[in-house]
Amino acid sequence: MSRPRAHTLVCRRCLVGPACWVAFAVLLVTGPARPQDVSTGIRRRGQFLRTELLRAETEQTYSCALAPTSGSYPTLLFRRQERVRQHEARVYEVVVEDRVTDAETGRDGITYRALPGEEIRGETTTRETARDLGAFADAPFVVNGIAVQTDAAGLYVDTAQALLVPFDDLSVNALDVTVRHQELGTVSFRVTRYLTLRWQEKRPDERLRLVQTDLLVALGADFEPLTPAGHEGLRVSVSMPESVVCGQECVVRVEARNDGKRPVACLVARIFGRHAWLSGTTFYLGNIPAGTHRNFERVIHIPNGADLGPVFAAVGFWDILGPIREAVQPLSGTVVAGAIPGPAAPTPAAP
Amino acid sequence: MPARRTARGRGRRRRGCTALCAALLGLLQARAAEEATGPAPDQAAPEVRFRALDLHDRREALADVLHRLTSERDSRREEHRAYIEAVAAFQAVQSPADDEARLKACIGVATSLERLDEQLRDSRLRRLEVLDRVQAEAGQTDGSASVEGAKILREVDAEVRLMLAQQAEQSRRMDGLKRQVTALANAIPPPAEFQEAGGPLMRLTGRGPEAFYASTTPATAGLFLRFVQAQPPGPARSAWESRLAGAAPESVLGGVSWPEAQRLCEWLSSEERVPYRLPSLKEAEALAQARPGSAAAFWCAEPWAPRDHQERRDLKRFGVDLVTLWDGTAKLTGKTGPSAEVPFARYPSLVVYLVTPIQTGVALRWQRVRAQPP
Repeated sequence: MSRPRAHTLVCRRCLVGPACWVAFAVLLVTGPARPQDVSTGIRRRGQFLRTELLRAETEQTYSCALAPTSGSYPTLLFRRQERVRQHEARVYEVVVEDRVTDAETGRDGITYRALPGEEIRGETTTRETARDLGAFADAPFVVNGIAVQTDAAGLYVDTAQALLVPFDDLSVNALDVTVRHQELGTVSFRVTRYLTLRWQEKRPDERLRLVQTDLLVALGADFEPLTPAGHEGLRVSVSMPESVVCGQECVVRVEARNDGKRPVACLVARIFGRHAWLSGTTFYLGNIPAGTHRNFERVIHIPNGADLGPVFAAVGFWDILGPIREAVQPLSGTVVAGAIPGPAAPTPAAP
Repeated sequence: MPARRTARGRGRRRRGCTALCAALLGLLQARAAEEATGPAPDQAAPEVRFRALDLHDRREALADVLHRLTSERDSRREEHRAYIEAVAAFQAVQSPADDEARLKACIGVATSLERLDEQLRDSRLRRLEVLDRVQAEAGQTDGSASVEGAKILREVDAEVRLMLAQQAEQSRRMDGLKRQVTALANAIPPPAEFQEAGGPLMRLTGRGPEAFYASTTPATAGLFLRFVQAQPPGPARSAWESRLAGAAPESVLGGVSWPEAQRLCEWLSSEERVPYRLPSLKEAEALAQARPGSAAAFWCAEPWAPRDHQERRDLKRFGVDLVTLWDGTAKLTGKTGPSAEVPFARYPSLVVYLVTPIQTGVALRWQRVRAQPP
């Protein structure tokens, strides 16, 4: 517990301080009648003693962030959380302010005296802490309007690449993701996409944040601007199924191999063509060191109303040095209606 | 005339010999006199003149001038007659109803005017020479010039100057006539159709100065097979040959890429010496308007230039070039009008129309008419 302590403040600038001038005026008026030691008895807040918990509210919630992966499919990690909101108050000791006049020097001063057993409650604050309760397994969510289901590890792999689609507009660099759980409410976070990212210059906490929020970092694509870089030895290939079916999805795959001596930096590919469902699809290949290769695939949904017949498009490439005109690849396929005719089913044997 | 000239020439030579003999005789006499009296170094030999010879020469020169004048009078009459004929031909140009006949008449008038113009240039030079000669003769002051001779020279001078003035006036009128003939030829509408040997039938499309010739049908399998067979052997040629093997020559060919369509135009242009090319956007629009419903999707010459700034920036950023096609029936792209397409697209319903400027038809008809016998 607190012990009473006396605090004395001696005015060192009585000739210049306005408070001292006021005290001097009071002394002039009341001086002859005043005793040597005058106690005003004003109660004031003293030193901080402790923090008192007023009440605590516990809430079951969850977190959602990008999970690091290596591939072409963004993955979301869902974790259960217990969020505790603590309403706290700070407690201070009570002191009494006494005014005294030094008998020897005649100078005025203020003395504080702690009152034992008495306390003053200060301002109230709210503190929130989250406690991780593990993976949110096998739970249904709605992510940006799309119903998803986590697996046993609390992961959801975006196999439709719905998180990549908004970024096909190259002017979009950030996307607000809203996750809704039927019971636990809504959680929002922002996903970014930086086509050049100076990862090496980032602090560890920034890197951790980027792993959870940046799409390309989470996908394991290296988009650190490299110098010197070149694309002399770049070999690219594009593949698409020969036949794609209306209303279904198909996978377009871009593979890049660097047979040159210098790394290819921040390689991005993009489909151009007349067909809206195909055009604009972007592939993030990133840095490709010499002698290595990297591929990226995109899932493309063919709308039901797509024109049947052949479809043609071009895949253009860009790296940190600019467009790579010589690498432009043709892309073609055929849109068919209904199921793709496969091998004839074996005729059942006659009984 | 040549016989007369020959006789005169003989006479001139004879007189020349006589004069030479007289001169030599004179020289010998002078030499003998010198030897008798001794040398006189500071004294020059006196000029020996024979008045009779001078008179004779003057008379000859005068006769030559008069002869030339007679010749120029004939020439001038001939020029005037040709001019009158050209004017009459020009007046007759407007009567034929047929464009080709009118063009032929225009070409005839223009040709005769060109010929006459050339003739006038030559005769002007000749007449100026005659004037020089007259002035040279009139300038002789050795006393041999007779009053009558001077009078003749003055009359010749006046007549030649009159001829030159008439000729200048005629040239001025001919210039005006040429302009009228040119305007008349330009006013003749271009032929509605033309076809070069082996090339497609080209029909005039559009109006005014922006009109052009477009092939009445898209490029056919037969035309493309000729193009393919003109290419060096290779897998691409073999593939095309096998594809075209069963196709009827008159059937419309689709599934041709934009570079192949461009090469087809270049090849046909060099073969037929007619500048064939793919239609521009304006021409494609006019073509679709002129043949509504029949003009399917076809390639245009222009590269695709998107209006959207972002699309333009993305194409530039990735170094991709798209080209333009025109869909006249909205069967390929779902909308009528221009669309972006990758150059290597081979849609079966995407065909090739060939166009050529309006000047081609005009020039070909001009060449054809000029080649016809008058």
